[in-house]
Amino acid sequence: NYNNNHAHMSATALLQKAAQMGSTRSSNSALF
Amino acid sequence: FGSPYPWLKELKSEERGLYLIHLLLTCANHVATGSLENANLALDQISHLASPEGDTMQRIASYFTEALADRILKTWPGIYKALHSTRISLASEEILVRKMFFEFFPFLKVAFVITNQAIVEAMEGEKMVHIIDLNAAEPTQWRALLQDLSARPEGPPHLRITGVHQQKEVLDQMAHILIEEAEKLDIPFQFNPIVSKLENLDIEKLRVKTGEALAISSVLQLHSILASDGELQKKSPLTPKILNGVHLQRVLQMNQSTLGELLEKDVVNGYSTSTDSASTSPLSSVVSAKMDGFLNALWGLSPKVIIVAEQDSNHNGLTLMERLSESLYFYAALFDCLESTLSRTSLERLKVEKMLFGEEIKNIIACEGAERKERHEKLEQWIRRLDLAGFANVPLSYYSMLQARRLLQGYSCDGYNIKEENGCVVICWQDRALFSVSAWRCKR
Repeated sequence: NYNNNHAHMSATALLQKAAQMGSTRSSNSALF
Repeated sequence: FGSPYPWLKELKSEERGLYLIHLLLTCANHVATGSLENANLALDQISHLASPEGDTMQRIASYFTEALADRILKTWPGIYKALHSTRISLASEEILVRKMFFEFFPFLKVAFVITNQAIVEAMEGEKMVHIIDLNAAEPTQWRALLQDLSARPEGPPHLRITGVHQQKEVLDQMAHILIEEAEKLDIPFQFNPIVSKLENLDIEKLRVKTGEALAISSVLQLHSILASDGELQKKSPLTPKILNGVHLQRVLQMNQSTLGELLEKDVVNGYSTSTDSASTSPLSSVVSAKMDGFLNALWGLSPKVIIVAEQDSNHNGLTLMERLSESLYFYAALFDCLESTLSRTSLERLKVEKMLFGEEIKNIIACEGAERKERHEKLEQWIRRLDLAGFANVPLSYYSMLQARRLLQGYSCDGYNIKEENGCVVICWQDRALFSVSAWRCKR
C-alpha cells in the first residue's frame, strides 16, 4: 500500500459491507 | 472555511466510506423521485466528505455526485447549455487518457491478445485477409498481428484493415504506424480509414469484397448503439412534472435506509418511482432495432470471425437506481485497481478517473435516450443477442487462454484473474467480473 492509511478498506469491500448491513438490519434502524 | 457538520471531519476512513455510500443512495433516490431540494441537501453533505484526491470511496463519490448533479441540471436545459457552452474537447487529451487506460489496466491487452489469436486461427491458410476494426483507437494491437502474420508458416497474407473511428487524427496515426510496420515486415498492406461514429456507419463504406476472408473486431464499442427505438426520442432525464415543482410521492424514509435495503427494494422490486421508467416497457432494455439491424448487416458480410469485447456489467437498466447501484460496484472495482497500482497524488490516475471513468459515470447516470451511450451489458445478454442475430460462439482456444493467463501473471498486481465462461473469457478484479471477450462465426 502506497498510503500510510492503515485502516483502509477497498471501495468494493465497503460496498459489500454496506449491503450486508442493509440486509441484516430491520427496516427501521439507521446506519448510525 | 468552516463546515456546518464538524463531526464529519472526525470520521475514520471506513465510517466515512459507509456514510458516503448511504448519502449517495439517499441523494440518488431524491433525484429519481424528483425531490430536488432534498437532493441538494444530500449533495451538500457529500461535498464535505468526498474528494477526487482522497481514498477510493471519496474519489468515486465525487464522480457520482457530479453525475447526479448533472442529471438535475439537465432539467433546466438553458442553464445546462450555458454552463457547457465554452467547453473545449481536446482530441489529444482523449487519446492520452485512452493510452493510460491501456497502460494501467490489463483489460485491453488481454482483449487484444485473445482477438489476435482468434483472428490468426480463423485465417489459417487464407491469402486475402480483411479486418474491420469497429473501434480503431489502438495501433499496438494490429502491429502485433502484423508480426504474428509475418511469422506464419505459409507466409503472410495480403492484409487490409478498415478502421472506424470518429476522430480523423486517431485514424491518421494508426495508418502511419501500421503502414510503416507492414513495410518493415514486407507484408502487402492497405489501411482504409472511415471517420464515423459507429451509429452512423455506412456498411457500404466497409468495402468488403468477395474472395477475401473477413474478420471483425469490436473492442468496447457495440454497447454504444444499444438505445432502443422508444428511447431515441427522449431527451430530458426528468419529466416536466418536476419542472412544475410536483414532487413525486416519497416512498422511503430516506434517513433510515441503507444500501442493502435500497438495493432490495429499489432494484429487485422496481420500488423506485423513477420517472424515466414510466414510458418504456420492461422489454426495451433487450430489444434494440438499431443493434439488431447492425448485427444483421454484419452477418450479411459473412465474416469468418467476429470478436467482441465488452464491459461485463449491466449499466443499461431502465431506472436510475438500478444503473447507479450496478455502476457503483463496477467503478468501485476499477478505482480499487488503480488504488493498488498508483499513488493517490498521481496526476495520471486523476486524469483516467476524471476524463474516462468520470465521463462514463456521468453518461450512465445523467443521460437518457440517444445521449446515453455507455449501455454496458452482461456477457449473457451479448450471447443471447449474437445468437439471435445468427452467430454461433467460437470457443476460445487453449493457446489463446494460455496467452491471456501469462499476460496477467506478468502483471505487477495480483488482484486480476480470468475465467472461462461458455467458451468466452471474463477478466476479473478479485471476484468481480469486469470485461468479457467472445468470438463468433456465422451459423450455417
